[in-house]
Amino acid sequence: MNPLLNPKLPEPAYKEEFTAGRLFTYRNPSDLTLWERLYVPEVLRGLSITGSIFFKNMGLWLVWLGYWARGRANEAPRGAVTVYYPEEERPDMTKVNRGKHILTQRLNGEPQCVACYMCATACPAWCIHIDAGEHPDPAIEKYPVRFDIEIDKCIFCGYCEEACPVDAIRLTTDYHTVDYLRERMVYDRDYLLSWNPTKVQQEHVYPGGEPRRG
Amino acid sequence: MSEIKTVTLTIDGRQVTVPAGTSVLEASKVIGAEVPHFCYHPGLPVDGNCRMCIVEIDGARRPPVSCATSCADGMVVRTDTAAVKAIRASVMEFLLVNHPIDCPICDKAGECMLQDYYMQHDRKRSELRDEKVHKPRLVKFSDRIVFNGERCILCTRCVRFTENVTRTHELGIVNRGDRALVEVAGGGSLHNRYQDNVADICPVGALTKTDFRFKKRVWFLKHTDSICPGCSRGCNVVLDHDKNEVVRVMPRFRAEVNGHWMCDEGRDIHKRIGVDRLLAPRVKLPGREGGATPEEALEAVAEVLGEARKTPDRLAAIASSWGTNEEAFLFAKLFGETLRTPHMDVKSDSDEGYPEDDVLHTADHNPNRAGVVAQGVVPNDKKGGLGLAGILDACRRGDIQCLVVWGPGLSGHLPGGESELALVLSKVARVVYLGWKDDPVARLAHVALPTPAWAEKDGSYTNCDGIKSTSVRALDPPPGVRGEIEVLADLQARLKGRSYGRTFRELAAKTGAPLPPRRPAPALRQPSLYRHASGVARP
Ligand code: SF4
Ligand code: SF4
Ligand code: SF4
Ligand code: SF4
Repeated sequence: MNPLLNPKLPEPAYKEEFTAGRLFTYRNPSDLTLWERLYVPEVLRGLSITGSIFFKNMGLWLVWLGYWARGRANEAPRGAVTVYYPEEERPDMTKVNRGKHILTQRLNGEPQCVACYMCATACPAWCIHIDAGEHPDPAIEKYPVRFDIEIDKCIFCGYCEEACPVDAIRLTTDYHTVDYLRERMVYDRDYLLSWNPTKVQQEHVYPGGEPRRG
Repeated sequence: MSEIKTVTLTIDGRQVTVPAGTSVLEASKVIGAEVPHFCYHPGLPVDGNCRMCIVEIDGARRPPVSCATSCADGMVVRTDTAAVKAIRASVMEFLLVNHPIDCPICDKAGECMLQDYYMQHDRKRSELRDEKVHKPRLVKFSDRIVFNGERCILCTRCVRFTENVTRTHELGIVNRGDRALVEVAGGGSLHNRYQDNVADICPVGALTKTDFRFKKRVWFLKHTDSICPGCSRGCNVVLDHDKNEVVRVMPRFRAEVNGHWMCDEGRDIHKRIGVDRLLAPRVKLPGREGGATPEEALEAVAEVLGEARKTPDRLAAIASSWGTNEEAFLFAKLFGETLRTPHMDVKSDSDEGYPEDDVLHTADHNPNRAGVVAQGVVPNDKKGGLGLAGILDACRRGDIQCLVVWGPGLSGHLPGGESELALVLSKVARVVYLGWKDDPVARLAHVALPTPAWAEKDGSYTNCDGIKSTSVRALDPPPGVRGEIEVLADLQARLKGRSYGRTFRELAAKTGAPLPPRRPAPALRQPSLYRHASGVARP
């Protein structure tokens, strides 16, 4: 029965117990059998499951090594090894995966962004940092002198993309955000603008169809 | 005393009694029935041009504007009928016909009356199918004010400000209809000392301050009640700050001090916080040279003062006129009561700034001379105490053995400036400096202790008219810098004086400081490890 339709909800099941002089309240009283409550046999059973999977994978890996030595690694069973990242990539990444950001460009290559801070305001990870400046062209008026995204903090929620009133920031499908240097994981304006327009435009997929322009 | 005549009227079915002559708009505020308005401003004469504050009054031939209608006995006012709402929606539609709605790049967004009222009273799509009327944008009214004609809703608040508050009459409206435009008379520029106020009172983003333009979106700002230390008027202000940095100073309404306004010097005063700061203590005593921790420096001061109390006649203390009442109270107690020196006086810390005028600015560029004197920092006449000039003369003669200087600007009291200061101080065996600026005295003193700037501490100030205002700490002081209250209370304890308290709230009871309302603490934001990224080599 749907509890929302039944206003008289059953009392929550709980059990109180004095142990070592303190009152413990168990919200979900245990329904374990005596055998299970002996603890050690169940732990050993769990270990045997993980262990058997581990040894099966090790065996498969040895088989894979044999294939690899004969140059036929592609045909081998994979076992524990799923994808040899970064040499290999998953073939089944979704086309609407949210990855690295780009800043879209005006025709002259300048950022489309008007430094309105909507993305920085919407960002739940507070990882967008903007400094606005006065653009020499009075028709543009405001533009980002600095636009940094801390990619290591970003949770790829896409709110920035959604908040932007001028379609200036987009998330691409590129998920290669790894780096050996934390400093390099702060993407600055020029890096965000350095994408190759033709490549990204081909790759970019809009889940709801092409956005209305203008 | 004559009785103030009052009238009683009914607004939205509720009785309200107000002084005769009150406008219906103000009376509605009393019962909390907000009447929206653009052109009405409580600090300016009524104009009644925006038509947003229209209400229904029984018996009136047509709904009048509430800002220009005085309350009368027995009046029945309705502020939320369907007709009133329809009128408001039409006024909004009319104002938005040619409005650019470039909120993303408009500095007013977030505190814009047009935005707020659109959400409350309009919420319709524009019916306009034609090109909007374009007007001059980015017109420099002066070095401080930029005008955007497209955003202007022609409320004339700015015009009335220059007409009635500064009485400089620079602004006016030229042309009519959708060509109407605010312009500076004679093609000149705004030249009064209160011009930033026009950007504050502009209900939209038509007037923006060059100083704040594009610096910060307003919703990132935290607001802290403070005062302006620029002159002895002590205008009540709000410091708008973010990330431990003041971004903007805005006036805070206080009828008996500054009304709604403040001067442009006060707008820029926050820029002094980071300049010429004394950041670490300096000790130049035999056996104690070199870098000292704050604790060691305080101990050195206590040692110097302990030595000086043996000859209180040869000890002199000069207080800062930028100090708060609470600090001055402790200063007077420490030197007058515990160390018993007769030679105490207050000096001017600053003598730069706007000249006196008849709007707000006074001739004294220090916020709290009156308060420091009132807390007892005065020469003790009974024991032949010397005033500031007398103390400096005595130093010159070598009669003073220990001189305590609180706050910068002592060289301004000597005709010879810094070179004379060095000469005078060379005759004094021990000089102690306490202040936030890296002053010449700090460089010559035997012990110099850094203190916070006014925005970095709590305290009350007494202005030229004897009115007390309280300033709340908005920023964190530089690391390791402790407030004067703490330092003076610590010295008092080390010198075995009476204890009067070590926090602002404890001392406020003694100085009669108005306690500020406690504001809810701003939401905590995790400190970020983020540093500016440019210049990092990328693969
Ligand atoms: S994707 Fe989400 S977390 Fe990442 S920058 Fe955009 S708004 Fe912030
Ligand atoms: S929301 Fe768009 S236009 Fe606004 S600052 Fe972010 S990227 Fe720039
Ligand atoms: S004045 Fe107000 S409504 Fe107009 S662009 Fe600025 S924020 Fe938006
Ligand atoms: S500039 Fe602002 S204050 Fe002046 S008339 Fe226009 S909207 Fe009103």
